[in-house]
Amino acid sequence: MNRLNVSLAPFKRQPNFMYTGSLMWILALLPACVCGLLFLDMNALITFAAVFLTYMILESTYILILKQPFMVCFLRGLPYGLIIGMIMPPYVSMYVPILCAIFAFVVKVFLGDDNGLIVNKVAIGVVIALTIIGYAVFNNGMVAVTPSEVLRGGELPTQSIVDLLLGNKIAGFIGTSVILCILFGGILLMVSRQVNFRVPLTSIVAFALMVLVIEGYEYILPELMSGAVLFVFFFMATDYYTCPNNGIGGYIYGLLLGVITAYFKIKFVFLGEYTALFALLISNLFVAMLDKFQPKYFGEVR
Amino acid sequence: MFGGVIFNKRQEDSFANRLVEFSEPDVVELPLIYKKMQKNLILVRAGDIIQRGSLVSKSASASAVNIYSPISGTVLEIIEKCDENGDTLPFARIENDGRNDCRNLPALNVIDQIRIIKRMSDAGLIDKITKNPTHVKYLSQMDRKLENLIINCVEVEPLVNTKMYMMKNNLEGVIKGVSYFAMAGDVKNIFFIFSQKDMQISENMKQFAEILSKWNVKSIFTTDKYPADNIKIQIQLATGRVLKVGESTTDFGTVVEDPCTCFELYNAIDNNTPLMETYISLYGEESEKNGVVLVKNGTMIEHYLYDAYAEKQEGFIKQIIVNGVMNGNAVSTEKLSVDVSMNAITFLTEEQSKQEVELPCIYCNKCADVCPMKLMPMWIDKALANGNVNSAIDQGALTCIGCGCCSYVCPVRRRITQRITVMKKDLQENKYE
Repeated sequence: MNRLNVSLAPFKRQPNFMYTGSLMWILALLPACVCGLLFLDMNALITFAAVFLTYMILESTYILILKQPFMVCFLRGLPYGLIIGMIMPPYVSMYVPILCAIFAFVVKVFLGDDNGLIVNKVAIGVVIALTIIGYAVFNNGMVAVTPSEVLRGGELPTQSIVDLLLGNKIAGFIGTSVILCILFGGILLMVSRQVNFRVPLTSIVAFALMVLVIEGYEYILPELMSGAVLFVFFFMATDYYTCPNNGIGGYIYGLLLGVITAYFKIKFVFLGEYTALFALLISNLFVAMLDKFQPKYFGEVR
Repeated sequence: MFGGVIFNKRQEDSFANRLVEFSEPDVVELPLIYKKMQKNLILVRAGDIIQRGSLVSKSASASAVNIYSPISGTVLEIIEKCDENGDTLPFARIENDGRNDCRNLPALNVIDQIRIIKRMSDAGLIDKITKNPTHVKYLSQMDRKLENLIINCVEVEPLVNTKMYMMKNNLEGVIKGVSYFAMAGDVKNIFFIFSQKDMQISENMKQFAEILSKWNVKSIFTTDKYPADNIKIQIQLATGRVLKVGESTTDFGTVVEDPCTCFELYNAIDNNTPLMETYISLYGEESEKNGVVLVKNGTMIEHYLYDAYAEKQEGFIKQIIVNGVMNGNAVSTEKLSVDVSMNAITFLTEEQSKQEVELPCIYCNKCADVCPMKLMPMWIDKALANGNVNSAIDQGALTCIGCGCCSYVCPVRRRITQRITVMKKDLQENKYE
């Protein structure tokens, strides 16, 4: 007699889906990363390589120790490696990026992805490194004056909107200056349904409205295109672990993130390029509460 | 509307309209009770010679169904074996003598509400999948008024095509069956629900409009997304009301029937044939006998397996699924009897039946996006994985219809539907305190 496999329904699964999500994230991040590096010199590449490799080596070791399926978990960790590399200042000593990667990894291991990671691990890793090493080290890593700093001086950046869009000789983080590539990546993620449109779009609208109220309409685009704002809205705020799981929660989270980012960016001048990361961390703290706004399920009586 | 997923049915539909012929089975193992809870009076014993259409098991409780022999021959023995749910039930092993003369039910001279309901009961009509007798829904409404009859013509599950086959090839019979159901329920409205890809059939129905002229007939077109064929969703679509937790469809003054049952009622009334055989979809990878098959009640799956895969070596098929790949059951042996409540048999190869490794949830929210019941499958899964059944129930795990959409889309292959199924089964068996 034939030995038959017995399992429970469903017996059909979406094909090759395990890798698609990770690959889509990598595809979305790569253009911004590559273009950002092309505009910079060898030092930036070394900084990027240091942080990326450190994070990926730690991640791989972790996967091997826990005996998880290597390829799937490695590919899932890769976007985090890219993100943490992309929010590094290009010209810093070697130990800075390595420390950032280690802190991000330590947060992941101690809090764990599954057991209630309440804040974005990349953001918290960088912010811990920032606190320990000192803000000046990071700030000096930019070399040139960033558009955000010009804006804080009360003036509009000298670069045109097109220059900002193309990232043409814009000082800032390694991978956040080419806005066109960030928009491409963000749209790719939304169209391929890897992330929901709720958080990025609500936060952009809320940010724009807040800038309009405080500063005026001519500041909206320069503010939005400087200081890693769009990068955080598209790639970091939509991180699966720290994003609300329901529709209403998503909108409120986006709204909070947009408003806090705009307020911090305009009022808290000392945060500089890292404003959006701090705003993200504070918005993340509301997620546990927002997750409770679950919609009624079919036929539920409350 | 609701979440759900779209399957590419074009390739699978290519065999939908094809009736595949198989040889007559030499032996059938006919179930004498369809479900564990039912009580039947067994009328045959080993050595009896019976005719096709003879009553072999008579309903002895309100929830039981008459069962008729689909072949003529000798009862070899009464055995006990497992059905597809794993319950041990009595079966009559009958050897086929090849004679085809059939013992019919007495003809109905007058067709009215009471007689139609009685005929449903006499002919042994049974609801697909749930295995409940069909007439019970109408009996319980004798003192209360039924308003709506919904004919569920939505066929969106992959590799299942029986409803569409009936609507394309036996449309007149189906429509007459619908009219008998409408008379039995004394309803006002009849809703035909189709998925958008089947609009053409709704056009074809117009030629039989005369048969249903006494009722308000409305065709509703829903999405092509699975599980649009679910009863809860169809009731909401037709009546605009949501079935609350713990409510039954008849509390709404609504009954749902599918085209196959309508055709079976038509056969029972117009041709006086009791329910002995049914149409099911048969699909297997690399098989040339994919299509719709007229199955005699009690035929063993091996009869079709060995015929369809005569040239393949033994062990090529590693998994056999009854009632569809999304919410059916995997059976443990090819000796299982096919009964008239089933709608599909699917043969899977080793490659198709491979279980992938389950990884920790990444909270990507895809399961919540596709859940037709608007549940939060990842939270329910987390609660169940931690053994917290109460928390899962609080989050609506009992509302789950087991459609399998969440498990289908999960990128880390969480066994969400599977965990909920096990929990429900354990609850039924009082395994929790």
